[in-house]
Amino acid sequence: MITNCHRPVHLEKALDLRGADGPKKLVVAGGTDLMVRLQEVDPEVEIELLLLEGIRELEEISWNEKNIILGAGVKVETIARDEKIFKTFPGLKEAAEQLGSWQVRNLATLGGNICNAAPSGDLLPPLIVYDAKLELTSSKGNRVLPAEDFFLGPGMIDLKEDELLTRILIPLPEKGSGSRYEKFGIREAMEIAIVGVGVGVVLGKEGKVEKARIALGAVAPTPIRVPEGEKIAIGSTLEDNQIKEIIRSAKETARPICDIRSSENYREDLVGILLGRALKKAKERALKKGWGKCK
Amino acid sequence: MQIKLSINGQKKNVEINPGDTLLKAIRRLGLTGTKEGCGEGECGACTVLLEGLPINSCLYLAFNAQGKDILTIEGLKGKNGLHPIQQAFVEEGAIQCGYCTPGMVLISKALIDRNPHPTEEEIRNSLSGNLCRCTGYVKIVNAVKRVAEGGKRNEK
Repeated sequence: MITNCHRPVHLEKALDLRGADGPKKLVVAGGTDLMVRLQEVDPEVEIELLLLEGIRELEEISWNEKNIILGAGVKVETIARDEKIFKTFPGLKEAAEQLGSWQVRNLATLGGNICNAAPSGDLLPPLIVYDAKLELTSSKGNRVLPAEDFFLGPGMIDLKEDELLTRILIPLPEKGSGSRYEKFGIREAMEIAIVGVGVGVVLGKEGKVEKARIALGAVAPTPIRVPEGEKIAIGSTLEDNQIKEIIRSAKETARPICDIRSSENYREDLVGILLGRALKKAKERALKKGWGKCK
Repeated sequence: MQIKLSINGQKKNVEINPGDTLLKAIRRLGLTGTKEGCGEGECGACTVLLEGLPINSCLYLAFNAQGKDILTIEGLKGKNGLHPIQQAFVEEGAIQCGYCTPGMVLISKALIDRNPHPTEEEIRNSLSGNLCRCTGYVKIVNAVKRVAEGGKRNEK
């Protein structure tokens, strides 16, 4: 049974509450996933809610020479509608605008999507592609973790009992970079990804791939990278036959399950199709932006 | 516990349990135009405007809504009768059983407020979180288009 709500307006107070003893406290950000699960709470167990929505410090968006800094409480709809984010991190915007409905995006937060750690979480592949760093804070201090190391399993994350995810730092892209998020669901809107694919490449002056990051969503217990495929991409010019090789490697890396939304084989096929599209689009974007015109 | 909500321009006291949704609190106040469909944020029947933005009131804690302006379907009608969007829904026959209608009307209002002349694609995107199991959406989209085109009859 839910016995109490705490709604601090300062982060410091929220961290004190998070670290305090007493009944178990569930952290609620936007609540779009959690509220559904609250209905299944055991009536015998006392639970308190720690609501983060009132904390303005968590809604910060700022840019410096090296990073964009996003507060964990930034709404998904804010990311979906931000033109500067689209120009700099198009894959993040593409993922945000395809997450849930307008109603859901107005509530759901960046930090909530990360901490919910659904294998299909839309924002997760682009965050991994852009090498986002997560700032995890407790009243004792903070630590910073690369996004890709944060996910331990479905709904399981490397967050201690007294910590909150406070900020997300994403390094600004290098010159010659292009990126993309591709998602597939049965409906065109308001869908949980059957497969989500994030791609980021950096092309050198000759048009050769210097760096590549590929992240797959909904085909393993956590979002995963495709290290072998990235190796194949590096040094290539992403021609069709080279893309084929990258896809073959990604299909080997993916460990999809069969569930209500899709069979295993269908997911595997989708990895190939979406990855092919994402690589081509990322390349196109990198070329279009031109070398030296980035930022 | 008792909380104070600002609904349709009026301050109301309502008794809630800490885990209650805004939807529950609204309906407890007798404002039953806001419907519970799925209770999971999939269907949009519980849509209300919070500070002018559409949200699923079934996914939002009543506790969080304190101090914020909430608009439900009951608050939409003006002194001179129906809101133009409501009028357009009537004229286009965009209503059958009516269960999804309050949510459809409110999300359409939020859309028109943000973008007075949306394209059909923008309308369909904005309404994608509102399910209707009767009409097949054509008349609903037409009603929103009618408002977007300044109330003219939609010939298509």
